[in-house]
Amino acid sequence: MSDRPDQSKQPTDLLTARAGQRPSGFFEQPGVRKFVRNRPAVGALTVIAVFLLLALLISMPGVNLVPLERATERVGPDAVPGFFVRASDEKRAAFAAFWVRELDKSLRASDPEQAIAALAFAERRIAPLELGALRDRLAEAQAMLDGLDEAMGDAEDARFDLEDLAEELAGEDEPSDALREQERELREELAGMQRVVRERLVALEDAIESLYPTPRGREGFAYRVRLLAGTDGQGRSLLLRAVYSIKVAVQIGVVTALLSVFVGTLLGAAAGYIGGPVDHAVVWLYSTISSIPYIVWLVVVAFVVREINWTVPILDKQLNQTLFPVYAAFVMNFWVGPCRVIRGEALKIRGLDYVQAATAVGCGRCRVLLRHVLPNTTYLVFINFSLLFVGAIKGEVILSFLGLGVQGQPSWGIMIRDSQPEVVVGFFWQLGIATAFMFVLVLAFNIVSDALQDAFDPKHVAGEA
Amino acid sequence: MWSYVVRRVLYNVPIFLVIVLILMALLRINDPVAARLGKVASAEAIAAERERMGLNRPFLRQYAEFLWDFARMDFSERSWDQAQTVGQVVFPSVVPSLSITVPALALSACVSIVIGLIAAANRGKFIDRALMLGAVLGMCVSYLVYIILGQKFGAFWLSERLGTRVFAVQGYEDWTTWSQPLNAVRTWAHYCLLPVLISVVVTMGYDTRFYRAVIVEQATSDYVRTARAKGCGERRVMFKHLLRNAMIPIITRIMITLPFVVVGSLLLEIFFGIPGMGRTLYNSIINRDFPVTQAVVALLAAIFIASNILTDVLYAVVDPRVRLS
Repeated sequence: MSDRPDQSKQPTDLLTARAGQRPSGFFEQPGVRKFVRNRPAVGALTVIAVFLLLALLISMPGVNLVPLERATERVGPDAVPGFFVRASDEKRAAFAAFWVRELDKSLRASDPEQAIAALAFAERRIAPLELGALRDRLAEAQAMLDGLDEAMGDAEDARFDLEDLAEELAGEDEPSDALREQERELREELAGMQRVVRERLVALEDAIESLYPTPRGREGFAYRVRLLAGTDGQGRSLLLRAVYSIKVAVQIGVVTALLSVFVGTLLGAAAGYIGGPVDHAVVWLYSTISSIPYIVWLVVVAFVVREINWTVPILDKQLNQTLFPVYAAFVMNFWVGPCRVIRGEALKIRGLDYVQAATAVGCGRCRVLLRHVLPNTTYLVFINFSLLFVGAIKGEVILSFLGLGVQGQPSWGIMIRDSQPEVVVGFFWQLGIATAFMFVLVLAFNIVSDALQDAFDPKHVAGEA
Repeated sequence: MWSYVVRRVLYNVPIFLVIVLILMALLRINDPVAARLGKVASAEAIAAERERMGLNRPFLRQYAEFLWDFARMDFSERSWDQAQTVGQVVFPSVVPSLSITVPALALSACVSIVIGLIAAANRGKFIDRALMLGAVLGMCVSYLVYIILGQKFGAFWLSERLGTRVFAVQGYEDWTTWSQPLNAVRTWAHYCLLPVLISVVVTMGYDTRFYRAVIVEQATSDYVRTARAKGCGERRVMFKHLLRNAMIPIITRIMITLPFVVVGSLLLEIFFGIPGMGRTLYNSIINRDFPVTQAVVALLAAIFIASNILTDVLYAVVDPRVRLS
């Protein structure tokens, strides 16, 4: 308690004496001090700050850290694994086939000169060669691709034969030496074929490297960053999409949480403090809204608002191309939570001495509400803000899965939705990266709201929102 | 007791009426007929359809008639999307919905209470910390991720490993054949157990933390100390004293979880192709099948409010003090 204001000085009058006993600055309040001592909570707050900063950098017109075009352009073949993990031979062959196909397409275009000039995947461009030379290289690469396919087909056949033989061997009690010999030969043959496949694959990849040289220096670094988390089913950079989605998530979270907390706090405090018919009306309103599952409101409201044929003036976009339907659906549901909690708190505060004293001194209702009741619910406002932020981020995933959420830009929800067919065939990168980003942000908010609860309301039962 | 039940029912009737009013108004903000028939439809065609649907009557009259039909459970309007009446579309979807929601709710409550008990009994030890950390981390992952991974590993991967299909990837079959109970259970498990398990895993993160906190709070209270002091066995204290007193928050919690389970079952129904009410609602909205949307939403609200009344009554059974308030 040594950092409390020095009380040894003799107070000149009663007023300053009381001010001296009250913890003055923001950081000296007991709750704030308890929160600051909580290391994980401070770390989580830093993480949130980083996310907010990133969102700001992405959306600020001057900086434009990750422009929308960057998040939606093709940077390479489909479903490239992240962190430069080596893909299976089949996938590598498919990647090679992609590069060859793209070159082929451009050379067949009505104006090959122009098509070749435009043939670029972010920083990775076609080698600056004459059209004739490119045609020769393409023919070469196509021949190599055919050879590779053939070799892979042979290896596949040999593997099937070997499996059949192994079954035959397992079925017999005393396998004949001839059969064993046959199996050994087949095994060797298969190993040889696999070696051929490898060699041809490496040769083909070298040919492609000379056709599309990997950029070096700054550009090379940028390209490698793009491929860091792999690509999605349309060859778009997963890392950039996930980073861009920070902006979408923060936007949805901040707008819906702010609006809902504002509406909820105002109505809740008014209902709790004023009481009477106001209280009845507010309680009745929120029990009506929470009387049906919130997903029904979410789906119906999002759908109805999307269908309204109206062009938003400033953004100059159709309403269903903006995030307004999402905001509307969330705010409609989310204001109930803070309203309920803050009404309860206001009811409690109404009976406290200082409110009675303020009324006795002659403060009006509005002044008591704004100066005495609301400031004492601040911690609840913060807790509810972070709970609703998390709710909005999670709800966005559900709405996007249902096709009622974010439109025309990537978001974690859209990435998770798109990852479903990929997961079935065993490609987890898209699901993983979107979940990881979301996990970090949601975890940070959860830690912060738990710490706030611990610091300001220790008697609260955890998990009760 | 009965007067309490009647009071609860009477309190909820106006709520239901207003919900239906709001929903009917919401669904009429954009002309449903124009949305259904599209831009190519002529003005006459739209007007004729509105006339046929009775959408050009005064709104309050539509509202009253809808309520009257609803009270008699008479949905004889034709669906716009399917060659059936609304009743034929909506009613068959109730059982598939309940065959996910009810087991999910029951199972998740049981599992979470048990885990909460384990954590509370080992308060501060490693097992408690590990369980609670797991719960917090589990809460930070989207529901959809659980569903996608659950389908991948529960349906595809497991079948590949075992050589037989344990859980269906998608689909539903009517399992309510009471003549062969074993077969019924097997069919149910084939189609519904995987979604139910996913739902349980997701809700567990939220619930265990809460149950642990409730039990810890009760365990440090005076009556538990008294019970121990007079020589009750640990088991008797746990089940006879502690769990009974924790019943109120537990029931509250189950009530709070209910909407969450409904959200989950909507996602699960859509994902696993189970023709429940959530999927019917979603399909009717996407296909702009206005009569079905209206009926499903009203039916969902009715069921949900009925379950709210049921929980209120349960409260009163567990804690007689509630009846007086």
